[in-house]
Formats: sequence, C-alpha cells, structure tokens
Amino acid sequence: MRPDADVIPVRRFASSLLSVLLRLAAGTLALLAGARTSGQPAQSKEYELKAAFLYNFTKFVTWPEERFADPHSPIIIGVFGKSPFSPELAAAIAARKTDGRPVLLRNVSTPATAAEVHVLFVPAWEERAAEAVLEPERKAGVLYVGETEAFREHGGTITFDLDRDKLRFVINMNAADRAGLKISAQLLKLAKRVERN
Amino acid sequence: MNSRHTLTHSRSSPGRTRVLGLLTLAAMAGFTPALPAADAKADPGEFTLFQLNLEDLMGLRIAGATGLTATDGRRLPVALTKFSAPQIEQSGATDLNRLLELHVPNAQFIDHHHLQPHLGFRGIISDREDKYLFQINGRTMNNGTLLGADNERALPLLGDINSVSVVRGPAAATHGAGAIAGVIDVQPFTGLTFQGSDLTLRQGFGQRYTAVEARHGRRLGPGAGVFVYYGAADVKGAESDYYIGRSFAANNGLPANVAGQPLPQGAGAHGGAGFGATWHKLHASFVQGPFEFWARFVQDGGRDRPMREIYSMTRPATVSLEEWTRGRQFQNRQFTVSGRFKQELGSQWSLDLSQSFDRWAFRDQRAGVYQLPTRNGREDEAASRAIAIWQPAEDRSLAFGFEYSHTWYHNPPFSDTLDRAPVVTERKWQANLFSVLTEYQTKIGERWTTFLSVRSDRHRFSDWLTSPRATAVFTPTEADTWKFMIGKSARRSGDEELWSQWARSRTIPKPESLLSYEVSYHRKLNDRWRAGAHAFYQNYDAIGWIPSLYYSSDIGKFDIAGGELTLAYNTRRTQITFSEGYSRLVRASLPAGAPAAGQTVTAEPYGYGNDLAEWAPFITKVALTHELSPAWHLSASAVHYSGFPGAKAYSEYAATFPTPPSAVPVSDRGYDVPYGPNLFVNAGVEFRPSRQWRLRLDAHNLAALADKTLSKRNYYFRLSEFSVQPAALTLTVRRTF
Repeated sequence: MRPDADVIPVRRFASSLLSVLLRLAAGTLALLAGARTSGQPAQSKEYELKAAFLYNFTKFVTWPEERFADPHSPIIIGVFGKSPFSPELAAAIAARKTDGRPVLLRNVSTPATAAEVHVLFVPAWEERAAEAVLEPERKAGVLYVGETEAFREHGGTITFDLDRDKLRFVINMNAADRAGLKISAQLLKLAKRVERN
Repeated sequence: MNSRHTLTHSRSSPGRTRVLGLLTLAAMAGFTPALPAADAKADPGEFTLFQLNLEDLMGLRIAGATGLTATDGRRLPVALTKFSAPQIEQSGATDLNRLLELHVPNAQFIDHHHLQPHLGFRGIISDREDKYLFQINGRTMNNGTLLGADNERALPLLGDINSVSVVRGPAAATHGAGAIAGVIDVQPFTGLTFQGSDLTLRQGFGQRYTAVEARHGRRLGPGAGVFVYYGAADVKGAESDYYIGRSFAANNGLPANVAGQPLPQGAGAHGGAGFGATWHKLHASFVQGPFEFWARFVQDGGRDRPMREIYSMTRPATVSLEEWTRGRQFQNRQFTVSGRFKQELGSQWSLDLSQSFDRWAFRDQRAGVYQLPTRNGREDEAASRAIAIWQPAEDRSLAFGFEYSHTWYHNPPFSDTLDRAPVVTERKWQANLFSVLTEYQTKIGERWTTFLSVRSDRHRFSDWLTSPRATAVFTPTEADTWKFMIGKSARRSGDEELWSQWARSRTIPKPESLLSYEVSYHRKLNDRWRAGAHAFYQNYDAIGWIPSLYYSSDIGKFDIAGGELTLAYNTRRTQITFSEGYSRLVRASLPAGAPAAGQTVTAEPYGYGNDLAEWAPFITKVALTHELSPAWHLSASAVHYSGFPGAKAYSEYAATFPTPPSAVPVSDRGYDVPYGPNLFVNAGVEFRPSRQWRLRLDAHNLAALADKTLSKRNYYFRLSEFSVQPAALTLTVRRTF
C-alpha cells in the first residue's frame, strides 16, 4: 500500500518543475532571439542535399554549345522565386567547378531571366508562378528541375522523388530532348525512372 | 543505408568514408523538420555534401531514425522494421493489422471475441492491446482505461501514412512507458512529404467494404507545408464460415453444432463495423520551420462473433435468439491534437518540446450471452514532453528530459471492474504520470557505438517503474553489423483496474516486466541482397486478469526464447522480403496458490505440453513487388503460421474439467484442425495508364480457394474457434489531380 496515493503524488514536484520549465523557456527564447538577430536562418538540410544533387546534375548533362560564350563560361543554376538556399550555400557552390567551368547559383524571378540559366530549379511552392517559364519557346537549353510529378507533367525535365526516406529523381527524356540537352547514360542509370513517350 | 551506399563505401578512401559516415549521421539528424536541423554554416567549405558524388548522396536518408539520440538506421539500439508508403500501397494490405502481419518478422495477428483482433511480438500477446504502444508521430495513442491500442488498426484507410516503424521487444526506455512487447510508430504525411491532391476509391468484394480517401499536400515554402487527409469506410465484413471446435447438441433454439462443420446458425459478418456505423479518419498537419502541429480524428469499432456459450449457457426466455447469438460490438472515437517545437540551440544543444491533448470515447455493447449493460467510457489526456539533446562532440551525445501526462476519467455508467461487488461509487477520477528519461550514446573508435538508456515512470497508482536498456553496436566492416542488447520494460496495469483496486483496498498492484537479452547480426551480401539474424531470450513476469479480484495481478513467470531470420532483395524494379520467426517457451512458473487454468499463456505448468498456448512457434512471411514496366506493377505475399501446438495442449488440459472455463480452447477429442497451420496468400496487379490514374486489383486469402480452413483466423483464448478468411478482391481506383 502507498499511503499518499490519494494525493496526486507529483503535484509538488510538478510545481517546482513548472518553475524550472519557465526558466528554461525564457532561456530558450533568449537564445532563439539571439540566433535570429545574429544572422540568416539556418540552411535547411533537405535543400542542402537537393543543392548537392543539382550540382551533381551539371556533371551529367551536355548543353548546346551556343549556351556558352567560351570554354570558361560558368554553368548557372537558377532558383525561381523564393529560394530555399542560403547565401552561404550559394558561395559553397561557387567554389566548385564542372569540367573546368565555374558553377554559380543565382536567383531568378522572371521568365526572361530564366532563359539565361542552364539549370532552373523550381521549388514546389513556386510551381504555379513558374508556369510561364515552362512555355515551349523558353525551354531551349535549360534543364528544368522541380519537386512534384505535376511539374514533370507540365514539361519539367527532372523532378526529385522521396522514396523510402532517400532522395531519388525521375527524368522526363521528352523534355530533355525538346530542350536539346544530352543526358549521360550514367545519370539515366541512377534515375528512379526514365519516362519516354 | 542501402546497398548502393555500401558499394560506394567499399570503393571510398578511408578519409572519404569517414566524411561520408559523419555526413550520413548529420543528415539523419537534420533533414526532416521533425529532427534538429544542422547548424547553419558560415564557411562555404563546410557544406561537405558537395564532396559526395550522386551515388553517395542517394544513400543518405532524409528521415530520422528512432531513438532519443540521433543515429543511422544501421546503428539503432533496437530491432526495428520500417516500411514506407510505396511498400504499403504495393503490399495490397487492406489495414494496419494485415500490413504489420505481413511486414514485421515474428509478429502474430489473431482474432478475438472481445473488441479488436490482437497483435503480438515474439510470443507476447494479450487479450488486451496493452503490451505494446501504438504511436502517431511518437505520441502514444493507447487507451489507458482498459483497451490499449484498440483503435485504428482495422481501418481500410492507409492513405495518410508515410511510414511505419515497428520495434520488436521491450522498448520503454527509448519509446515510452509500458512498451513491453514492442512499439508501432506511424508517421503520417506532412506538407513536406506529400505534394499534390488525389482521390482514392476502394471497393472490397468478399470482405465487403467501400472506402474513399482524399488527400492534399502542399509546400508553402522552405520547411513549411500543409497536409490534409480524410477517409471514410463503410465496412460490412465477410459472410464467412465460423467454426466452434466442440460439438454441442441442439440447445437454446440452435441446431446442433458439429466440430469440423461451420456453425449452422451463422454468426453474422466477420470483421464488420460495430453498430453499422461508418468509419472515419481525418488527419491534418501544418509544419513551419521548427514548429509542427497535427490533429487527428479516428472512428472505428467492430462487431465480433458469438462465443460457444450460446450452447453451453441457457438462454433466458426473455432473450430472443437473434440477441442471444449477437457478438460483442463496440465503437471507438479518438481525437488528438499535438504541437511540437524542435530547434537547435547553438552548435551543441537542441531542444524538443511537445504538448498534446487526446480524447478517447468508446462504447462497448455485450448483449448475447452476457446480457450486460452497454459500457461507455471516456478519458481525456493532456501530455507534455521536453527533451534536451547535448552533443559536445561527434562521438557522443546525451538526451535527457521528462514527460508528464494528466488523465481525466469520466463516470463510466457500467464498468467491468467498478461494478463488481463491492461497487466502486466514485466514478470520476484523475491520475497523472511523471516520467524522467535519458539516453547516452558514445562511439568507441570506428567500430563500436554504445547506447545507455533509462526511463522511470511514477503513476498515481504505481511506484517508480524503471526501464533500463543497454545496447552495443559493432560494425567491423561496411557490410557487417552486430548488436548486443539488454533491455527491461516495466508496465503498470490498466488505469480502470488501478482505480478499482485503489478505491476498494487502498493498494497498488504489482507491475509486470519483461527483461530481454538479444543479439543480432546483419550482413549486406552484395548490392542487392541483405541478410539478418536475431536471437532473443525473454524473462516475462506477467500480470493478467484475476476474476476473483476484478483486476489484474501476478499470473506467473515465463521464459521465452526465439529468433528471426530475414532476407531482402532490392533492385530498382524488384523487392523481395522474407522472414522466419521462431518463439517458444523455455520454462514457466506460477505463483503459489495459483488457481487451475488461472492463466492461458501455457498449459506446461499443468503438465500438458511445453508450448505457448496463444502463439505459433514458426511464422514465415514473404512479400514480393515487381515493376514489369512503368505502367504495370505486380505484387504477391504469403504469411504462414506453423500451427498452435500449445493451444492443442491447453485444450487437452481443459478437457479434464467437468465444466471447462470460458477463456480456453475446447475441442472434441481428435479434432485438431483448429490447431493446424494457417496460410494467407495475396496477389495484386496495378496499372498506371497515366500520371492521373491508377487502377489496382488485389486478391486476398487465395489459399482459401484450395482449403478454406487453411485461411483461418483463430480466436484469442479460444483457439479451438476460428473464422474463415474467405478469398476476396479489392478494386482500387486513384485519380491524381
């Protein structure tokens, strides 16, 4: 028998615990406030991974020669609309090269500027706003990468796909052909699925 | 980690391998908003994912692993099986019960005459679903009053589920209070893991049901998204044969029952909805950075088949034959809201806070032979959880925190325990549970990872119940993984019984506990094949319902040993999983003065056999999915139970009673069909003519076409009784918008 069971046994403890919690919450808020004022929000790890995929895609795609002014012209990865990539991550990409070409990450907000990039990443929340950039006349020489099946259905070249906790990608070869892009057999082999009509 | 990742490891330089391993860990800790995000890095050179090639990147998981401190799937300190939405869809399983039966090694699914069917792991199963935890997003959903995890498992509505993780064995230290036999953790989709909208219609034939599901998910920005799901099902069940293992002369207006022949009277549909009510499931979630909110409503409840007492008891003249043969029916309604905040605080600390509220209301009608009033119950629970995680170095981390829950019980008008003499007149009560928990993870060199976990729970009607766990993971190569685990879980009895006992005698009962020793070995054989072996030994100190006391108490100590062999084949187009589970009783001892047939775990102490009475010693499972082409997909699966020799032994013991107890197997001498093997075979084909449309046809219980008693589902306690699971079809049509 436990004689104190008629009284909820941890009430007193809970009271003191509440006090501790309030202090912890205050400390947390202070830390968070400090974090917010000290710089940019943390880079999402999911999008860091997607950025690494985007960078890797540039190794497996051949663009039409006219897309580059000279052998040292950069490969430009555009991000349409609100970007999930931090400036630090953009700087990290800029430190890398593909076939001797610098790789740059650039924000894109209009269809006109979208045509200037080599890879255009359209985040899921920007798909509707990005419909104009997927019009056929703007597709030449641009690798369109998105996040949903609907994006691929509307002409996207590659879409990310989450499969059993791992990031995969699906390739729409018709879109690649229409854009005049050559995609290496190695990338096709790694794709979860390659769609052709 | 998958095999592709392994191949990359084997080709990597040692330094690169170390980078990869660390990145994998970092990735696992931070890719999902439900886990602490990695620290923002100002130095571009620290974005080390760019050092990896595409194959390496594809080997990283972006969902978190189970446990308090972060680790990868390979080093988890428990035996865990995880499967995700594509596997769930391709399995053709109609509900969670059958899904878990198919995918979880050494899990058993068995029917019951009371409330929902039962699941068990590694020989541990009960007439209540309180030996394991059922969780949504890590929040325990079990009903505390009496029923346990008696909700949601039978719903033919699985479209909201992104993944399911199942732990076998005691896991209170890592997963929550009372996890004696295992944990089922369901992770629904969020706006970050499901994009778009679709509508699914499903029609079952044979097992008759109609279901509709709609879902919509949308990312609103980086780390922000919304997901909404609603499903409804009209479940009629199957008009299948029902067998009672003992012959009875005509009685109570019923024609004679002959063992080996279906009940002539009929038994109503098997697996239909209680009270004819539609089943519902609603799930909505919103994620914004470190904040996650979700709400869930589920309504279900079945109608069971009658027990053999329709013959052995005498029907009162005032009770109609229809009412006399009506099985128990019940309904559950559960509504849960939860908010969570998970954030890194600097480079070494992260914080995980959650607050939730849950309401569970149930209705339990036992007309039939018992003629008991309808039992209604309701409990409300508010639960808080705060965990701090400290990682001072990459080779060690510490998690610690507490949980607190407060539960209100609302005046049940009729109660099994409270209404037995002397009646407990105080019908509203409250209880609270306070828990402290911690886990320390450390890496010793390149090859060893150790976990020390402990939680202690203090309930209003229990002493401190402590559940420790220690795990050492040895990874001598990229292909080999050894785990050595010792864990103990303690569990208090059902909350209504605790109150009943306290109100009557001001005493608290003995808790039950399970101490487990486990060794496992996994090997990646090559790029496609993986194999695993588990061996366990469990000391189970059990409690169970004591009719003379009106609450649960000590029923005995049982040592159970066994193991699992697993094999998996995985390519881009083909997946095959195989498991063989084995569990058997080693020894049993009953408390002094234990009554005859005072427990149904085994008849061994009474001199009959040496097997578990409610468990098949060997359970074999195989599942295959294959993509013929992008448009055509095939699936097939089979689950085989080797039979129930322990139930046969118990029926021989029960035959020594002039009047056998109710809750034991009883069959005619020489009639052993109920204790023979069970086989469930399923197959499916899916056609995807376009992105917008999916058509799927699943055939279930195909072995019944050859021998209907092979596809039988036995009943807990009374394994001499079984219902045939008839061959059935499900047609599924999905339209994606």
